[in-house]
Amino acid sequence: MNPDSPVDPVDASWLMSALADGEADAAGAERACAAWADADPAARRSWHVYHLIGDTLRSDDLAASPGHDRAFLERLRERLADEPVVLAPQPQRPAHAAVVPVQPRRGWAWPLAMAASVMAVTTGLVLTQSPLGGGGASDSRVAAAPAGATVAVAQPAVQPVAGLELAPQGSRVVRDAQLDRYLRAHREYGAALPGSLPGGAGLGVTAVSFDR
Amino acid sequence: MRPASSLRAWLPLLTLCAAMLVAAPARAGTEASSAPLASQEARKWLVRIHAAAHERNYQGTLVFSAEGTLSSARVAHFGNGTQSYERIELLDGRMQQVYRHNDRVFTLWPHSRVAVVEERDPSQASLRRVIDPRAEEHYEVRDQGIDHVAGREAQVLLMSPRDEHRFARRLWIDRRTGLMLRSDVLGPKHQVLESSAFSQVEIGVKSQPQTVLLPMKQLDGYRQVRPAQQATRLESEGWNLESPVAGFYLSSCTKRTLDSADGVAAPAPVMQAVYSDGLTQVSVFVEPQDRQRHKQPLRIHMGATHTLMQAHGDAWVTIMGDVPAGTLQQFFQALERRK
Repeated sequence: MNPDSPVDPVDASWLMSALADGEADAAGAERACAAWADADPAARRSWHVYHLIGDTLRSDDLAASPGHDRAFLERLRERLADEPVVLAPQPQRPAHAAVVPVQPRRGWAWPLAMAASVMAVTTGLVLTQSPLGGGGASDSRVAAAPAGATVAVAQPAVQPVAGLELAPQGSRVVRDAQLDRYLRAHREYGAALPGSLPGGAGLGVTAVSFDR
Repeated sequence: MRPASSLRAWLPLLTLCAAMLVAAPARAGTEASSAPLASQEARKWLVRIHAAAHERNYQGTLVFSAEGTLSSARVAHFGNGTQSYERIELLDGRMQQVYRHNDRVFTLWPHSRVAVVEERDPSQASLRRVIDPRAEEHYEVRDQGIDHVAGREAQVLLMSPRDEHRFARRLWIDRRTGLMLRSDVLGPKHQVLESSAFSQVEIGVKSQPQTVLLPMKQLDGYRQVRPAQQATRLESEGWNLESPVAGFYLSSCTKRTLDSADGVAAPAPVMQAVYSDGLTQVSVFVEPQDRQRHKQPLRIHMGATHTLMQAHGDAWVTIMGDVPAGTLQQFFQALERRK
């Protein structure tokens, strides 16, 4: 199969399905990426729909508004286009690549792993952006860690501690281990659990006292 | 997988998900401004919640959310009056597991293969997580009608603070058993700061203590860590906190090592004094200042949990709790070196 040959729409849709399901072989993945890079609207739509289906099956939250992440990606692309590229190695332009005027679109030509992690990486970018730009507003959120807690720096008068490491890794964040120790001691049952547990888990039998 | 067939196959599921999305916001949670319950009646509710938490056997799945993050845990509680067993298995992140039999608490970290084994001092049994009926003195309780949580009919109670030192709480209480099914912490504008709820629960299940006791025995391959912890008093550690924030009373004071998830103990022991107002707790940690680790003062919050870290002479003070930042500041100001 020659990756240089144009991809017909039906074929592209099939390729996107295979790619989304992780069933595409190397040649298929290359052709799918080529279809994407050629800005084939059908291919992009299929790719988006298959991911939306997958996301919806995994979590309702991800299904909230189908147009949302596309709009988000559009905005991100615009912003990225405005950003100067710092110390980026010049990609070798493939002979067959369609002329791409605006964008560092080479990203899209990277197979599988890159395409799949775009959303995750961009989430990290956006969340970590606010503390730099926000200048210490009370809601200047740093980032979110799936294990439980979001760390936010409030109070502009006080500088964040130098030892507080909040390095984004995709949408994950390395939480400050020191703070976690206190949080775990405070919450008795672990930092990842909230302060109040429905049901009343965590209470000892000895603690019963209804009246003063 | 062909696109057409995959769409067809998933369409019913998609429809279901869409239906759930539409249904979700329809649930109650209104700001019905009914009159506060009379003190007697409010107290009756709180006693009922307190008793149900002790007496009921239940198991289910808890879901927590704060600032856009979501996590969940499987929990079970069995009690027969004299013995109490509990199991909390976090399903996300590092999958921490907690097993408790009376005052013995095992915290397992499956990834790092560390088991933290603690024997809690019964005299220090704090009132944490328990709603103490005394909370009624600091919070007005309002009836906000009936809702459903995890398929069960729930009474919604709004506990609004009587002063600015604490956050409001909205509670969903199972109408049949009195068990708390959901708890939201609300900010000053009644915005939800964090929420925890059963997504599924069975109440009145058969007691199965073995499901708690077995994992406590099967620690092959786990490195066991036994953190030191002993009861103490603020005064004997050289501190005074004579007038804490109104409505907070000392519920426990210990000297302990703070362990990280990988079981590495922090170098110096830390004093931890816990203050409670019956509904929420504030921890005051005091330790010698280590200039390597404790450099600049800090104010942060995670969901409803606010933290203040600041030097106090040659000591390093960390104050933490589900209370407004101003309350922590007041605690800090009330803390004094004993002369």
